[in-house]
Amino acid sequence: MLFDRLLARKPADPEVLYARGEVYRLRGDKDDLPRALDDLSRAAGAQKPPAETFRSLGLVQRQLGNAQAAAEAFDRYLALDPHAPDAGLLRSYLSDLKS
Amino acid sequence: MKRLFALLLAALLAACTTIAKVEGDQVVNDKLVVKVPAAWNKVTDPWEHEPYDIWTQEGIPLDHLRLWAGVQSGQPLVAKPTVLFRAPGEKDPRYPTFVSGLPPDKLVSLFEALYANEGEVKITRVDPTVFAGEKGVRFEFTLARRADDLVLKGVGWAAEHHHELYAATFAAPRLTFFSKLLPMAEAVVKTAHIKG
Repeated sequence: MLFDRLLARKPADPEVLYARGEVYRLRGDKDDLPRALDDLSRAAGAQKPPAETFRSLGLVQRQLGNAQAAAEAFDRYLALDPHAPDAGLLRSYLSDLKS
Repeated sequence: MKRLFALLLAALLAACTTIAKVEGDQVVNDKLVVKVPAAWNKVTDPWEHEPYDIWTQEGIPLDHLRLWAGVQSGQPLVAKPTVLFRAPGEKDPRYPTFVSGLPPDKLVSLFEALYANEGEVKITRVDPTVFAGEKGVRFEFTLARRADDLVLKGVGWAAEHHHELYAATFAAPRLTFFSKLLPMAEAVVKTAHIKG
């Protein structure tokens, strides 16, 4: 509800879109994955999205079986934050996605 | 006051638990075998059957090594709330539930949610690993515990085998105890293998 109110005021706010998309991704209920994909894709297309947007987008795309889109998102995330805490795991995901 | 409350709860809980020294070969939940080169203290609550074993060196308020073995899909990671480190008036904790087929990043999220019941958790490192002979994930975290304002560092390992979760976590105060006790926890964890 809070996210919806914030987005009603500023529909393309990348930080709020990322936050709502991440909540959907982590909750993982029925229909949450497409909602997460929608929010995170919109956040990624906005100006100056948080770097974590691309991490979450990659994880959602990977879960949906979209290997190329997932790899692109992980590449972008690691370019923005090469020393991210989960860089090791995501590099292993990338290796699997590109093999 | 918060510290006193935590100590009183610790004393109350201690009255209900048994502590036994463990060393040598140990089997967790009849499924996970570990070798224990230096003795640990196993803490058991006779009233509850948790899906994990919990061991400590200096006492549960300070450090713990938890070992999960054979957690089935749909089963929560804990059977009852960890009341020891909850501040007065806190809501009931939410129990993360294991679901078979979770990717490694979601396995980390399970344990992040578990420890978040005690305070603010920050995942500081995540890497692929092998745990108990299975491909899995190793993660590091910090926990700023609400009830006593103590900051702990932790490490976790998790993997899935035949649709069941196998995992271990170790946490201790980041000053002194963590660096002193982590090698002892790692010495146990690296010997872990699934029975059969």
